[in-house]
Amino acid sequence: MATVLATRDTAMRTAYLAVLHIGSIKIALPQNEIRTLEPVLDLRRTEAGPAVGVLELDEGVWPIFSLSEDLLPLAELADARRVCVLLGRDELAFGIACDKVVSVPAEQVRAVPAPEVLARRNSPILSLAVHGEEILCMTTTQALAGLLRSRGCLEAPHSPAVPVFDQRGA
Amino acid sequence: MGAPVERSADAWILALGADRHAAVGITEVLHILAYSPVLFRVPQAPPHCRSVILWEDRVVPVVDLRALITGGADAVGSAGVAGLEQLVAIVAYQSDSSQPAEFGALLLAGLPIRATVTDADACEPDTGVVAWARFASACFRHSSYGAIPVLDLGRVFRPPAAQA
Repeated sequence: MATVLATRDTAMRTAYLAVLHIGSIKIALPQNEIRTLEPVLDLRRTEAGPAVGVLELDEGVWPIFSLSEDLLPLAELADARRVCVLLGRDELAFGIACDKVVSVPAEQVRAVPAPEVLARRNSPILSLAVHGEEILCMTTTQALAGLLRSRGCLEAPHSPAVPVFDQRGA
Repeated sequence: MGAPVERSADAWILALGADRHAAVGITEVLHILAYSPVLFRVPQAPPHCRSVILWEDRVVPVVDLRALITGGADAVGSAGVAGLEQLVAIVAYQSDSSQPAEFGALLLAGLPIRATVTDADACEPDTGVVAWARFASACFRHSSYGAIPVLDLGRVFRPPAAQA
């Protein structure tokens, strides 16, 4: 059964959360937003650009980012990163290198609003959550993509070349 | 008519490290967490509040006052990284007397010291730290520590946009 976790902008409906360990931080997002997990050993390193490498799958090429504990893109793959979490698809496809990924039933997690003093414009952290004795930072693929876009790491979604008209009233 | 009665109040003097001190009302400190309380870092948070703590089943923001008054240039340490040796004071405050109490946490460099303050101790804040004026409701002079701002915790725990 899916559990609804209220966040700042949206209600997050998911049965499981994927908890991404990046150094000492733990960010959680709906597990159904994860496309697949791949070992960093399969990463093809790239020379230029904010991504530390790419993963080539049948579905396409996924840029992989190694993030700091402040979720800022690093130039090099941090030593502790072991697994790449591939998120999104099509224009939004990207991956995050993590130390490990743990699956947690959403019903075991209690979402709480982030204290207002923590508020920062464009933060990808939508709320916090209590899981046992730990506090998780809740996010989504869209929120992480927004942060990467703001850092110039991902392109903004393409606007359609041809205007799309709402045909419901046509 | 008699001479005016000098009022006094009790306060906790908080050690912030680097010879900096601040004070809060005696009833505002609820709990001191020693022995390396576990702080959970929150990415993309303001430099003065980079972590939260789980206290009494509540998620409580942890403010580094030194980083707050210096805009992040000076901090108690790598605040927010779980496992560091440090003290945390859990404080309660009301932004408005009609509102319920809210809870916050302050990073400390030592145990709080109790002091009794009278009207005669009132002074101007240290001109070297202009930012104190934004977060202090008063200031008093202490024989050992000099001018000590009395924190308005409602202002300290305001969202950053509202602090400007």
